[in-house]
Amino acid sequence: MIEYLIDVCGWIGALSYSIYSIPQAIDAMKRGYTEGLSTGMVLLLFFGALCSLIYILPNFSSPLFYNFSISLMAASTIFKYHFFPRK
Amino acid sequence: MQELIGLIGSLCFAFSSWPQAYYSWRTKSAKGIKWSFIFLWLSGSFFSTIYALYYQKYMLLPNYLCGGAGTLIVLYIRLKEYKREREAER
Repeated sequence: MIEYLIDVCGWIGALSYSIYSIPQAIDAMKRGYTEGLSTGMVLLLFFGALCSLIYILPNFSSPLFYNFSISLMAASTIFKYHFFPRK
Repeated sequence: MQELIGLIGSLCFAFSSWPQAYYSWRTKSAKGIKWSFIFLWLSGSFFSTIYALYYQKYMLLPNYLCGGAGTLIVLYIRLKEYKREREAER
């Protein structure tokens, strides 16, 4: 029973980690720019997702592949609107 | 090479909340940060830490704990700011 609960925790954690930057990316898309975000965080999120995706690429059937792909899409959107805001 | 790229990615993720925590602390503002962004990040850190502790995957812990610590600082600043806004509205 306890192992089942711990596995559920693992899944909730992994799911949260894969989608957490989506709301911020949607906000940036709506505004056309990012507000109050630090450049350091934007860069670390982007390169973190990119390097992790490259790392996991050989095992592309792994759930982590989808996790990092979603993270990279959201991080790229934030990156785009942070450095190249819509005029 | 592949391992090094994975390590860099993991380190980037582990410390990604720290620049934001520093920036928000310096400007005393985290207004642009969405609540859902903060809570999903914290939820990810919290539940993944439980998972890693139980299965003794201790190598993963610094990643989750570092990210969570920075996010907690951002949450604290956001809550203080929210309280200030509510008081100003009254």
